[in-house]
Amino acid sequence: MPKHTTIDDRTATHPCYDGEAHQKYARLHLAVAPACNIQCHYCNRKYSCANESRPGVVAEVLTPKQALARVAAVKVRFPQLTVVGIAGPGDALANPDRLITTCSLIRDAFPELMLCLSTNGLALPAQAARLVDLGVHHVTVTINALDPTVTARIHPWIFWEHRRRRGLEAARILIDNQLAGLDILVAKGVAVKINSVLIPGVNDTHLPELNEVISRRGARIHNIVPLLSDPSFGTYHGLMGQRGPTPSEVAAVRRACRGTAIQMTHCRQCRADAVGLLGADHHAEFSTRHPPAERCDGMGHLTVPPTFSTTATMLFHAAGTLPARSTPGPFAVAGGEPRVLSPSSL
Amino acid sequence: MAYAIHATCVTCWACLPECPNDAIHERGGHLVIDPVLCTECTGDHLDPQCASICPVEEAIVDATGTPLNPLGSLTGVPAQVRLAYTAAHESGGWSCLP
Repeated sequence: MPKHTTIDDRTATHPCYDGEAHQKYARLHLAVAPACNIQCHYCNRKYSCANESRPGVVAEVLTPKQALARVAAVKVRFPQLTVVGIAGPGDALANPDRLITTCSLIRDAFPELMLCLSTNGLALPAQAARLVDLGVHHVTVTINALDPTVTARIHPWIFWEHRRRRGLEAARILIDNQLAGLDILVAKGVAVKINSVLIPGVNDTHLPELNEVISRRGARIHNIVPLLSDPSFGTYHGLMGQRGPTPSEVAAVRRACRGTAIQMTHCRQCRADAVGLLGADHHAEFSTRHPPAERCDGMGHLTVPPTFSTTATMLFHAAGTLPARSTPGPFAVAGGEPRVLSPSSL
Repeated sequence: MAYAIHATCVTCWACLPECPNDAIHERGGHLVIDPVLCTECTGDHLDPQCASICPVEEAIVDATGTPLNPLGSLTGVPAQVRLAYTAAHESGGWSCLP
């Protein structure tokens, strides 16, 4: 395990922040944060799923102690583990007690591991300083727009100061907090990555301007990810026919972004409980939940369909052939032999 | 009067710390509201806190069983589209989706 001295040394071993590191170093997403404080139109809050591969989905939520045990187990299996991230399935900062306890346990037991989290930014101004105290060096803030009229088309409501706020009021509060939080993190030396979900016809023409602003404010990396909106996900975008961008549309928006933030192109849009190297998820090996009955043969063998999960969708992305709107759901993909996991491997 | 949590709850625990009366507890993996402790937030907040942060439509219901967040009110997905999706999901196929 390399000794880290500066934030740049650390970033060089973070698979999500460094374009080379993802081939060598592994990361683990700990699903300890089920609660969320905003609604995103690309999210379905029914987060529990063993097979789908997309952000916000997990097989099971862990307690902080279970999370620590998961880290220990994964570290044995993946000695190249460098990063432990908290990415949901809700918002890391909307679960402050679980977040703080988890980070403290891991920092004490595995001080060499980097702590990382992703957030929608709503609670960042209130919590940024505490994150730094906890030893969090890398934070991803999802900012999809800086124009409230655009944000309101992506985030219909937020929960803020004891009320559900909607529309432009909600959008303005969210944007203000995201930018204020970004400034605090940058001032404290945290490496900040901004994620933006590219939604054709909604924020595509707005993202270059966003890129300029977040670059000027000190974000290091801008990760523009394509909207995933398969109807089977049950999201607003999926059910209302909002298509995701083609790979060439993603490339065009990235080219139009001229800010200093580095464009990230190796993102695999992982689950919130992903394990291992990017693009090769092993979360099922570490799940303690009993296999779902409908996919269990009664002998304790779980049949995992050859889903579009870590294979097809990601290969489509890599090959630049993702259909503009993929129709088959996770259990309807034909072709390939199902993998059978025995109880010992679960 | 008291609110209750319906089976559509996804157990995200978002409501639990927001309750001013500590009326929400986990029991057998599910969240439940203690009807003795629940005041519907009267006197504490302008809006009931559990229903204001809850992301799941129809999960929080009042004493008559009426959802505080009816279908479509949180996600923007029209009720008939959501019902068609749910039916398709439960039947294991997706092809009938709009």
